[in-house]
Amino acid sequence: MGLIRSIFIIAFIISPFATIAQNGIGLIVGINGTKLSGEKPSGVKFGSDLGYQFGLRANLQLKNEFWLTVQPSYIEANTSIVEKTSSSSGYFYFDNISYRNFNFKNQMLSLPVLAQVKMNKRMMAYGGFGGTYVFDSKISGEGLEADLEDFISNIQASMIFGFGYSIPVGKNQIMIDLLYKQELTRLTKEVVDDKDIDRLRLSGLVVNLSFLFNSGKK
Amino acid sequence: MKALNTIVVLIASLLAFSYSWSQDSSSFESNVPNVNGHYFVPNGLIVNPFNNTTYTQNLGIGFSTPIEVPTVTIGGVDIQLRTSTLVYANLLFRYNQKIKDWMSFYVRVGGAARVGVDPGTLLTQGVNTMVGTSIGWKIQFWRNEKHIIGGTIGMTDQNANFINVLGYIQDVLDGVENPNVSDDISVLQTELSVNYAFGISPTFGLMANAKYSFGDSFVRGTSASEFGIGAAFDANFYPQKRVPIGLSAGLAYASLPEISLTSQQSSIFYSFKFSYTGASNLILGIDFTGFESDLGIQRDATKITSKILVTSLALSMVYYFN
Repeated sequence: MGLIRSIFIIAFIISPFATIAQNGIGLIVGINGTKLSGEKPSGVKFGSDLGYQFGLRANLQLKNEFWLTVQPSYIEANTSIVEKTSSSSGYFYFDNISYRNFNFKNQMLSLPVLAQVKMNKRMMAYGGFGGTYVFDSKISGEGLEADLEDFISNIQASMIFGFGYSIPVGKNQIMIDLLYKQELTRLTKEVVDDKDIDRLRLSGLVVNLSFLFNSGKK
Repeated sequence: MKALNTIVVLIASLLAFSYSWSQDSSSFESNVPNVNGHYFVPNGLIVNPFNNTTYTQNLGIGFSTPIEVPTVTIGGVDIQLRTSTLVYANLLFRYNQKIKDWMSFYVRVGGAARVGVDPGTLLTQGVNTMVGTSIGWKIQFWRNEKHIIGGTIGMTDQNANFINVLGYIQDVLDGVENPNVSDDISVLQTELSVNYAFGISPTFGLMANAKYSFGDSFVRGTSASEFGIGAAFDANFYPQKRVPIGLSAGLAYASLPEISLTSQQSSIFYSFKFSYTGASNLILGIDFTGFESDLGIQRDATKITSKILVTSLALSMVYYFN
């Protein structure tokens, strides 16, 4: 009940803006290139891998060239972890050194809240924060497959920056956005190894395509 | 004394150079941000509240005052080392993109190093390096004819490497398995600042800022927050006098300065800057910066508790696109 009442209060507060503004609601799909960043054990390299995301997008115009955009999304983020080993039984073999390649996959629900500022007729700039709930975390490869939920902190907070390009389609619009997302909170619940994996975070680039059904004037 | 002579020669050269410019009486139009007719001389200690599209570059080198190195024990043998010096170096690139008159986006990439250059400091202080990237927004909150107030919100991701020579030798002698000579630490911090500029008159101006950052510290397993505050008073003689010289004197306090690399003590920074201000879209400068700091430690046994004074000289350039 509290949540519904909060929604009504927020809707009441913003309704004077909404009646005169160009608000929009629509769908969003995108791809992400995510990478682990932070400290790593010696002999290990973090690489980026492609993932995808989809969800809803709501744009709320607060001032003439200023919107608040909320994008609740499902995200699958893949990263690669490459470990240098002394044996030759690794995934691939190069310069007499063998490497083992693992895929580290996280499935998340994300709620970014971004400020959207119109730079010119077509270009937008974004900046804001996001909250993420990690509900599944797996590492696989080289015959290994393991769930990592016990080690992963479920709630993550991120900072997001980026730019977007708007293509009008009648009163509606298509948005193409390029965003940089950096998780601020540590991915691991606690220090896995007190020396090696203390500060581990996800970061990466996101390309989103949105279709927005707009209200108000064109 | 040598440094004083250099400064005197530099001032004389700039004054002589400025004389030729003083003949030009055309009106001054510039991309350099101005308030109340004052075109501000940037100061490396202070983040300004302006949202112009700019490119900034800074290259500096500094030296510490002599350090009394304590007796070091290696393998049960006491080794007395001579007085030593640390060398500091830094390189910074910053790009600020104007989005609106009241808003801009910035990217900053930089690196810093603190190097022990003789056996005493090399053993007890090692070689510390840091590279980092910052991104964020600058927003102007309010302005009137003479004052402007803005703020920034952003984050900084830094990777530091600490080469610990003494620790490595001790670990080898102690038979530690897989001793590491270097240690990598990743530091992510969120930063907020409030920035202010006051155009006192066409010649004189004042800038000040307060900043707060929080996140990881350079000590593994701990978090840190830092508070800093500073102000710089500047004079630009070109717009009114047609003397293309700008001067800026700044003072800043940082509760946990990153430049000291691992120091856990607060520092006071001071800077003095000579600038060439005759160009419409460029300010070139020579920055003299100093700070007092406790030394960072690599091992408790070799902690040096006395404060050192670090003075540095940097070449700086700010290009204003609009």
